[in-house]
Amino acid sequence: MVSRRRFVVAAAPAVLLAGCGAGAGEDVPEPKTRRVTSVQGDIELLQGAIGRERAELALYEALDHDLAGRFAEVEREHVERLTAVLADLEAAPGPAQDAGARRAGADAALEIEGEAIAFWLDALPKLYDPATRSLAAGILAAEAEQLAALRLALGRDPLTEPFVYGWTRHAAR
Amino acid sequence: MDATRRALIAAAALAALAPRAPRAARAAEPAGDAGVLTTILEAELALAYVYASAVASGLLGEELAEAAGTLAEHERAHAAAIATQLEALGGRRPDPPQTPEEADAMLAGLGIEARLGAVSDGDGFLRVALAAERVAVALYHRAIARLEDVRLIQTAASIIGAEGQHLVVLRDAIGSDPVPSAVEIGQS
Repeated sequence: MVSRRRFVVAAAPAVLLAGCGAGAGEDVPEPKTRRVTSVQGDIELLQGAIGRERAELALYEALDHDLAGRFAEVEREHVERLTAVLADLEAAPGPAQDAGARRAGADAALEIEGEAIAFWLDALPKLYDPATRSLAAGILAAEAEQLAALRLALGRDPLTEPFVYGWTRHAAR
Repeated sequence: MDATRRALIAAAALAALAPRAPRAARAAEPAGDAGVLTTILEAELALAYVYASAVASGLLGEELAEAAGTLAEHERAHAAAIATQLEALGGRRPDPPQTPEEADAMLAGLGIEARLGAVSDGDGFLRVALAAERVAVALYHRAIARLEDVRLIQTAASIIGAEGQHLVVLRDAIGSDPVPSAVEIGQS
């Protein structure tokens, strides 16, 4: 049986194209301003996201810091919420991401939060389902909050830039 | 309540509303992405005014005043980015508030109950800012689900993260949990 969410997401591109009147010999929407991913794309992004969130959870579980317990709860909820979306799409979570040789220190937490922000910023426009995009936006905002709270706790400036891009734009440094 | 006090309150309320009509009564509200951006831009303009007022008031301590100055710069940068994209869609940028009354009318139009006109100390500014930031986050959160253009989604995503960080600074300043929710959706 196809779940309601899966059916709606899968049917949406056809509805969108029909609504635009796209057909043989007609102009189609400019590709760069249209999301072209669909349900399978959402599944793959979410599987990658869960692996990343699990790595964050493992880091906070191993971290000796006042904020670690609370932030582990936050990451655990992210994993649960994303897993529930995937279950609705009849897909399994992806494997846990290898955290590599990252040590469970405060700098590693800053680094992993910055990476998470960069990941979600890249993923958001690619997500097709609006409800999933909405959840992802809420997670991105929470990751940005965690980064600022960590920086504050470490005596660093929590407000590094007006647009948050993650570690690729030195926010986590 | 005596008649003079009622008259004063009524006059103040009218003055606060005078510069702008309520959102529901405005003519030709833009639709689609432009409509979403117009509302967001009003929130950014109101926030920039709140932070600038807080700095100018001298009611914040040195550290908080410095943070408020940075927050005002952030909001102005957000407003500039959103205004550019709104105008590219053919929308008209709202006028920024010039007085506390205009800022309060803008806040009221966004459904924010806190008022600059009622602020008498530094904590008051923080609470107005906190209420406005939570609404701004909610607006961006809803926008990201509704916007059609991926470039607008990306801009909104980079700003919602920044607004979340603003919330952390404000919550820390008033002594509340800096990250109270695993999924930050603000408050509508």
